[in-house]
Amino acid sequence: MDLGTTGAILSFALELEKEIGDFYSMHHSGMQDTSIKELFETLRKAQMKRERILSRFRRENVTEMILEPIHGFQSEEFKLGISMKGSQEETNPVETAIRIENNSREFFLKASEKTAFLPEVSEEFKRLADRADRHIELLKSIKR
Amino acid sequence: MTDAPVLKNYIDGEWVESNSNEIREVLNPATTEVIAKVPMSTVEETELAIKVANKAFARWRRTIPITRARYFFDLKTVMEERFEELARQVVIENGKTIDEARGEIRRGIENVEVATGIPTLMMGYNAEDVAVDIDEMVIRQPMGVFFTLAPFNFPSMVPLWFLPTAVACGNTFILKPSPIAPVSSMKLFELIDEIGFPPGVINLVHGDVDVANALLDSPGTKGVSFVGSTPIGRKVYERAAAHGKRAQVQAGAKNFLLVMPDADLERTASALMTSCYGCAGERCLAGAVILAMEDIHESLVKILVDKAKMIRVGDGLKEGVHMGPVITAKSKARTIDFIERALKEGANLLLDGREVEIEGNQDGFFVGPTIFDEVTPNMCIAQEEIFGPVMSIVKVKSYEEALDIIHANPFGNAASIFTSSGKWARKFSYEVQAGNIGINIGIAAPVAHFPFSGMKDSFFGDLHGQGQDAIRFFTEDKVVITRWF
Repeated sequence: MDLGTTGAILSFALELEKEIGDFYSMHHSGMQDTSIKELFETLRKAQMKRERILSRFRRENVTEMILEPIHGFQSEEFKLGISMKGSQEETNPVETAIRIENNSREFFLKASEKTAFLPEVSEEFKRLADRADRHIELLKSIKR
Repeated sequence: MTDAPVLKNYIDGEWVESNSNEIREVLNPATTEVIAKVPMSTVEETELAIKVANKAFARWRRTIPITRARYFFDLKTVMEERFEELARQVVIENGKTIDEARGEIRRGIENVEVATGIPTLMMGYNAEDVAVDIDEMVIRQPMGVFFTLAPFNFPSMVPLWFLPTAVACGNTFILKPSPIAPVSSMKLFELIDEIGFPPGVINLVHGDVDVANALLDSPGTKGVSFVGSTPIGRKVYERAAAHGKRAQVQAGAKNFLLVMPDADLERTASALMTSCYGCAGERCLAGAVILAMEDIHESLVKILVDKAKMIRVGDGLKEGVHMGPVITAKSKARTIDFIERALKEGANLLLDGREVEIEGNQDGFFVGPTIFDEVTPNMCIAQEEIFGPVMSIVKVKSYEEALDIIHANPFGNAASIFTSSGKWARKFSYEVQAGNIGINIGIAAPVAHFPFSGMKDSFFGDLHGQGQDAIRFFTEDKVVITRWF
């Protein structure tokens, strides 16, 4: 899908968040390793907060009705396609989580760049990218 | 006739079927699908709504303001919860894009939020010792039944410009939605019903001229808030005045956007796109005529054409679409007629929106972004309100020439200047006879706690919608002079 408006970007971001939320919820409940379990709980909470922020931005920050076409931003590039069961990835959820957070970081960075005409929204995307970066560090540290 | 539901009136806290035999179809302008049928309610049904609203007033006006405000806290909460549903409904019946509809719902909620401040907003004032041992105070009291005649272009937001303030002030209320776009009001009233406002406080009667006239002629109503065209607005104002009612009549527009040589052209062009093509040009604040100073005329035109070509037209429900259809087949024909008249008058058509094709929506009422250059002030597209996505560019030699063009037009809803000079900006806001002025803003839309102004043929009345004006409109000042023996 062509993410040609701010609303389209935010709607796709919310779709991604739903998938991410499902992933962390499922793996958190079934996890044996307590340190990974705690980290996944932290990431699940972070994801829920992100979803609230994005939802709020979609409701409150598109009020100027700005008609500023966005080009060169496709959702296909950022689709996660996480298989919830039976896949090889399931055996290594930390690796999958790193892939997810990486995807989020790249997505939010591009979203920030594409919404520069709405500084408040753009800055929030940048903040979310930075947080994803920190999540990657946490996941890598636990992997070590 | 299809199986689409016939909409009901909401009177005395109940959904009631109209007895009317005249039923009209409500279309989705992007698909032409019939989404609902709307009855043209009878005079008797309108009179019933007026009667119950008057009955409810006696008790509602004695309900303390903080309690009245709490109903609006509840309304805000449920509107936030159903935000996407409300926005989608606006798209389905009006055609604007989902982002624009989200903006509309947000602006509507902001009016609800302002109404929750009614305990302080409607306070009067007092002075001690106006004479020896005598004090004096002004209290603001609700008046009775107010009603709104709403337009199609903001079917959710415009009713909310008036309803929350009127009702929070202690009045009771009747809404007559546009018969072209009445379903968003139904959604709003479903929430009002769910919250449980006392019966008769807020009512809805579907219909057209007969309902409007019954409301205007009745001795049981105190005032009208209207948003629509100038010819109809003038009639509403005259009829309200003839019956001694208050009236705030927000009418048509032809908004001019002046681009000075020192403007940031890239950002200005973006603002002009939004102004002229947002909501397919169906806004009373929509930019219509670009007054481009000759120094920057050529470069500005190039940027505008390039940007307009990038606008994706389509069904507003699809995320990523930039501009939806106009409201009806008649609106489309009217817009195309303007384009053809302008061609005959000698305007230079740079971008033609007449033949836009939308995959999967061939029957929708779409008109693409259209740009005319070499427009002169006497051409129809520089004079009359089009209410469609047509941008007209007039080259001007000086600020004074631009001002003369703006002032020669009978409308005075909004005007904007794009400049990096404070001097020009101040001069413009000081001198221009328009109610809403934008400085580097394409759509000078006042937020809920400021009045939505308008001058000349764009507004009839004295107190505008929103802000402190609205509080004054929906209350009557009473002076109490006190001495105790």
